[in-house]
This record gives sequence, structure tokens and C-alpha cells, in this order.
Amino acid sequence: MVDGILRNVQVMDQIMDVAWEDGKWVAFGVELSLKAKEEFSGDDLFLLPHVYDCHVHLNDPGRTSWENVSTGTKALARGGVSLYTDMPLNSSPVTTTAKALELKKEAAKGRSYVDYSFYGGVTPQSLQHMEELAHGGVLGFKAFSCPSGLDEFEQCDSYTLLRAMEKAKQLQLPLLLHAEDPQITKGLQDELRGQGRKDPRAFLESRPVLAELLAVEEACAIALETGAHLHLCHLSSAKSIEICRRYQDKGAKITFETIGHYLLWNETKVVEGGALYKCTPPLRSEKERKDLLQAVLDGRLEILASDHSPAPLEMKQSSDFFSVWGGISSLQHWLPWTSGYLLEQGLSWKQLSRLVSTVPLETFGLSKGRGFVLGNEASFTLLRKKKRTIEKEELLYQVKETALLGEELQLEVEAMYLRGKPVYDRGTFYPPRGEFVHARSTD
Amino acid sequence: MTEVHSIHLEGNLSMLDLLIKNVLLPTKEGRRLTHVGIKEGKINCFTTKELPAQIVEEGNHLLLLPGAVDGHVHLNDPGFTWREDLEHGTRAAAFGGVTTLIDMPLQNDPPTTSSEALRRKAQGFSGRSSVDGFFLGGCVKDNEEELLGQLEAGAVGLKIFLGPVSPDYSTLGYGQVYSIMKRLSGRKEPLLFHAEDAGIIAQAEKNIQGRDMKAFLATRPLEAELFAVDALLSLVRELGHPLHICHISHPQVAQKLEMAQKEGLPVTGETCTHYLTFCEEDALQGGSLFKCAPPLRSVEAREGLWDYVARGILSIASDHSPCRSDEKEGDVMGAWGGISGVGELLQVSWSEGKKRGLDDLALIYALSEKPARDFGVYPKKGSLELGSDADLVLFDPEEDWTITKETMQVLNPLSAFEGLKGKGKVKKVYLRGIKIVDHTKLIEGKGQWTL
Repeated sequence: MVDGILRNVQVMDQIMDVAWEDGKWVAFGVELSLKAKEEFSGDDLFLLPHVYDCHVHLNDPGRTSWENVSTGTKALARGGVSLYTDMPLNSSPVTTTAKALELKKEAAKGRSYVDYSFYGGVTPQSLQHMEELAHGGVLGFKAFSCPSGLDEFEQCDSYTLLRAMEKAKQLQLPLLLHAEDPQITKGLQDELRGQGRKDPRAFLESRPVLAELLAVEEACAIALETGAHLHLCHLSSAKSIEICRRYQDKGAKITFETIGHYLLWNETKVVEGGALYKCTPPLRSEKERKDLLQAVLDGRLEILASDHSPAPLEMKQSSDFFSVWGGISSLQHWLPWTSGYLLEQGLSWKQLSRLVSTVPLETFGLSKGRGFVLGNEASFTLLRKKKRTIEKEELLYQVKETALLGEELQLEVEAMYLRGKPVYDRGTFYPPRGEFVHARSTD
Repeated sequence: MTEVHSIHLEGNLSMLDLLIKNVLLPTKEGRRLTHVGIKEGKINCFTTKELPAQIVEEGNHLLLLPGAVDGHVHLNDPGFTWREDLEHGTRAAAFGGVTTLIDMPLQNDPPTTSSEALRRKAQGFSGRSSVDGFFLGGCVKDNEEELLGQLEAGAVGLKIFLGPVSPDYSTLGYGQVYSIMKRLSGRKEPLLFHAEDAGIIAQAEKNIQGRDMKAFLATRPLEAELFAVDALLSLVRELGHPLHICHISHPQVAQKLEMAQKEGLPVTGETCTHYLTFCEEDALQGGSLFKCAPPLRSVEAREGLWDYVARGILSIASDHSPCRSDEKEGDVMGAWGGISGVGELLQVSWSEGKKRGLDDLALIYALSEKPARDFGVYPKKGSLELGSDADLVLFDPEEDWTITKETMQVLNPLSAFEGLKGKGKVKKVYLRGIKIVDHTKLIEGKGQWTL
């Protein structure tokens, strides 16, 4: 007698029965002749094993009125995510020291609905703290090549990036980068402001694809030279992938992700919709969007994340679009919203499973014990095909606003199970029991 | 989730046909102890729980592999049965853990270059084979009208020679390949190529001195392979027809293939056990037993090829091409070219691959999944997925072996592999859930050939 069995569920491209005991997978089969304490019907359900969002900003501690562990992880559970990695900002203090990391662990302990992990941050002032952060269990180090938006989280110049990657290589952890060239973006912004421009279109003009390409090229060159693992966050252009491939072919270890909104939306949203659609890098032209989508469809880009980045509404209200706070709240619907669209565009469930689970888990050293293998954690998400639109009333965020309101979903998250037990199941939430997950190198 | 009651009451629990207990399943996280259940010839489940089954067998912590798929064999049956026959060739395959064969259209009388010849060959195979298989059809100089018919009859691809070939077949030029690709436009079955340029070989043959192995090697320069593959890739780039390069002997050729794949061209390729195990020094010492075309290359080339296997670019086939002992006698230039090796494919590749640090999954991919995919028979064959044919090998990765005349099950126990030592031995083999090999015992005649 096993603990649970889910019959007739579609996993990747196959329909099967799956069974778990003590939180681990114990059987996969066709009409399993196995009895369970609880049996469930998987008819019309799709199972994704261990969905992982490797890029979120929960801002806890310090900016909990923007988002916090309770609200953010409840939304993650509702959105079908089993595990996330929180960015070193916009929490306060920013996570550039072991002490700040401990505060984050404290904040999440006992409050997170899903498993949690952290990146440390690296700035020109914090290089010497990378080692202690690694000991604290961070999965990697986040750096910015352009201003981050927070004064206390300074951008890295190329010298700092060089030293940071050398150190990251030594610590066997990836360096994650927000890649936009600061000189191009600042120069263009100053020029536009000088002309009296501060409209959304001016903002778009100040952050061209070229700014991303230059920063990607530089970071790739440093990665090749140092042998460090470089992970490029939220790529917004397929042209960046071409640059990465050139360096990969020479032996550099480079990985990269994109975000749902770059695949579903283009720049007209920013012009027409305003501040809620502001993010950096910004939404791109329709051609850029299509090229990036194609890269996902044919497997050249294999990591998706939400880059959930909320802010209080007052920070989204200004007549000066340059000074409006950027960031899109998305994690509650990231998985069904992006997946539904990609499946409609011809992506297979097998590919999807790689994009939101297998590849990000491997990239950040978390695949051991996770994923659809006998003996691994039975953590999974169940989805059903169902059309509906996103409504304000359902938002679980601290700040109940998002650019995704009114967007159509093709999929509904029915349930999310963590280690064989439900966290969310058709409208019901169970008490938080997320655990801290740290990098393999600190085991 | 919706709770289910009553649908699976005790009495209704369906029974497995076979449960093999305690096998080690290769996963991306290493070998996992599991039981594997089989029902109606298919893989039904993987479980760490005991399930009711008609037959329960103990797997003794042996490694569970999908049966190997040999994408390149010459069984010589019908027509050249003094070299090999179906019974012996497939028995050797079974003992070697090779459960699916792709048989070539040549070294057959008649050569299988028409739908009629294919059908007759398939009829003759009924009830005589120890393993499953699929047929290739052929393209020769006068059978353009027969090409489509062979594919419609069920051939999984068509074989073309660009280099010199035995008298029962013919060498085609690039113009003919062009016209064949045009004619078959839209078909998904690959054209398979022996890709050595006939012009370069003919020229090289004019300049040789002597008739020994050194002379033979000089007649088959790498340029012949490189040139032919470049020409073929140019045609595929324009016409888009899928192609498969047989027996790639050198990493420079594999590199061309990889570049073409990156470009998005529908091209696949295989190398062979012997190119991964031996080198030209072995040929110079060992003589005619090591004669094959393309020939064995340098040590560096051999090691370079492994990289393409490890990265999933190349599959491994045997190019099993045996002969009677007298055909290997006399000078090397006149001797039969071809190495016997269908039975050695899995064990030798595994052993040599492990020496070079390949993991279980990379070897399984090269020996089972990749060839099955390349010939359109995946995931029925070459797979450990639920619902795939239960063609399974229980393998002892630690057991040492030596290849001798006694271990070879082929008609003519004569091979370059004789005397080779290695590690990792096939213990039991199941074909669609039925045990066909139990250590040294064979249960014959269960194989099915699909046409």
C-alpha cells in the first residue's frame, strides 16, 4: 500500500499512473496494479514534475509592503511552482553579505509555501563577501552591468565582473548578470531628457537591443577567459543567443533564460499600457519577440522564469516614465500563462518540462533528487486545459495589481504537491512547509 | 484532484506477465534500483514496490539496458549464405544483446532493390530469426522506378554507394543522387550513403605499389570521405532530403555532420565498433581481418570519434560484414573487405566507451536510442519508456570477457575482434518480454521482421 497514486495522467507525451510513498516517486506505469491510501484520477490532467522559477524578487525582509514571503509564496503555490530562487534585491538589506543572507533565511523559515533558495549579490564593494555567501548556501551571485535601481546595490564595471567571475569560478557557482550596457543607456537617456522627452517611447529608445548585445558580449568574453559559469538573466533578444553560442563553441560555460513577457508581448504594450508594462530590458519589437519565441520553440533557449518584480502602486505613477519603477508582477500566472501560449505555438509538453524544470534545475545544481525519476521527490504540478481570463480578485500578491490582468489563460493550475502532499489543491491551501534548498557544492 | 474509489478493487488488479526484480536502471542521476514490469510484450512499469506477476524473476542487481539497435548489418541471406545466414547472424546478435537489426540490401541474391525482392526476402525470414529487424531497400543504376515502391513496402531507408562496391550492387554518381532526391521529395525515410568518392579512390589506386595493407590504406584516403560528404551536404542543403552517413571513420567527417546539423539539415550518421576500437597500426599488423572501407584510421582519429559518440552526434553500428575464411586469404588488396561484429557491438562498445569515461546514458543513446530514432523505429525500439517493446538486456558491467572462436556465434567465427578483452557482459536478453538468452542458453526463432 503506497501513500498516493494518480491514475491516467499525462506526463510529457505519455499517459500513465504515478505513485508515491514517503514523499518520493515509487512507481510509474500503465494501469499500475498497486493500491494506495489515496487514489486520484488524472483524467485530462497534465503533470509537470518539480516546476522551478529561478528568478523572483520577494523583497523580504525590508520591502515587505512590495511583496513578502507569505504573499509571494502563496501566489507561487497557486501558480504551480514547487521551488524558487530569490534575488538579492529588493530585500533590505540587499543580500551581499552572509549576515543579510541569514536574515533572508529567517524571513522565509516556516512561512514559505514552497521550497526556497537564494542568490547572493555582488557589487564593487562586496567581492570579499562572495565566499561567505557561498558557505551560506547561495546558488549563485547576481550582478548588474547597469544601475539596479537601488543605490545600495551598485552596478559592476568590467574590472569587478572579471574579479567576480574569477571568484565564482573558484567557488564553483554561477555568476548571474543583468546585461545592459550602462553607457549606451545613460547616454541615450540624457539625450532624450535634454529634448524634453520622458514618455514611454523615449524610455524604449533609451534601452535598445544593442545595449543588451554589448553587455552580453563583454560578459561572455570574461566568462571565456576566466572559465566561470555565466548565467544571463532575462534575455530579450535572440541576437544575444547568437553571441552566447559563439562563445559556447569556444568552450565558455554560458547559460541564459528568458521571461514570459518577452515571448507574449511587444513594445506596443508599453506605449499603450504604460507603467505596469515597464521592465528592463524593455519589451521589444514584434520581430524581436517572434525571433525569441522561435528560439524557445526550437530549443535554442531552454530556461523560462517569471522575473516577478512588484512595487507599490505609487512608485508606478509618475509623468516621467524614466523615473517610474520598473518590474512586472507575474509569478502567480507565469506558468499557466506562458505555457499555455507556448503549447499553442507548437511547443511539446516534453520541451515545456525542460524549460520550467529540468534545465533550470540542472543549471543551478539542483537536479539531484528532483525531477521525474524513481526515488526522487514527488513534487509536481497538475494542469488542466481551460480558458479563462486573469481577474483582480484572485491576486494573492501584497500589491494587488499586475499588467497580466485581463490576459487569457489556456491552462489552469489544479494542484501543486510538494513531496507527495498537497500545498494547493483546487482552491484549498495547506499550511506552509517549504524547505531551504542550497547549492550542491556546499553539501 | 478528484479522488477515485472503486475502480481498482482488489479483484480487478491486473496482473503483469513478468516482473524482473532488483535491476539497476540507468538514470541521469546514476543507477537506481527498481523492478521492471512487462505486460503484453511492452514495458509496463518501473516500481520499487512488488507487484503481482505471472512470472517473477530476480535481476540480481544487474544493469538494465534497452536492447541494442544495430543500424548496419549484412546478413547475406538469401544469396551469400556461405558468409553468413539469418540463423547464425541473429543468434550472435541475441547473445550480444542486440535485439533489433537493420539489414542491408546488398550481399543478397537477388539484391533487395525492388519491392518484390524485399517481400520475398521478408517471407524467407519468417520464423528463422532470433531477434527483430527492419529492411533497407536499395538504389542502383537502373531501379529509379522501384524506389518509391520499396519505401511503400516498408523499407526504413534506401542504401546508396558512392564508392566501389561488390558486383551485385552498383556505384552511383552525384547526378543520380540528385535525381533520386528529387524523385523522393517529401519522403521522410533517409537515404543511406557509403560516402567515399569513387573518383578519388580510382586515382589513388593508380599510384599504389604492392598489394599489402599499406597499399590498401593508400587507396582510401580521408579526402575521399570528406569530399563525398561535402557533396552530399550540398545536395541536402538544396533539396532537403534526409540522409544518413554510414560508417564514419574520422572525426573530421563527423565534424561536417555536426555543422550541418547545427545548420538544421536533416542529416544523421553512424560510426562503427571497429573505428572506435582499432587503428591503422592494428590493420598493418593484423592484415586482411582488419580490412574494411573506409579503412581504419590513426589513433588520434579513433579517440576523436569517441567525442562525437559521447556528445550524441554519432550512433554506433557494427557494419557486420563477415565472410568465409578463404576469402580473407591471399593479398590484402584481393581479400574480402568487411569486419564481422554484430555480436560484439554492445559489449565491445560498452567496454571501450567506459575506458574513455562515457556514462551509461551516453552509451545507451549511441547504441539503442539514436539508431532507433534515425530509422524511425523509436520509441517502439531502442527505448526504456513505458509502452516500448520490452527488448531488455540484463548486463553485468563488472564481468570480464575475452572474445574467442567459441564465443562467436556467427557462421564463420573469424573476426578482427578475436582475442580482444574487455569488461561488461550480457547475461540475459528479453525480446518483447520473452526471454531469448539466459546466460549461455538461447531460445531461438522468436524474432519478427517488419515490412
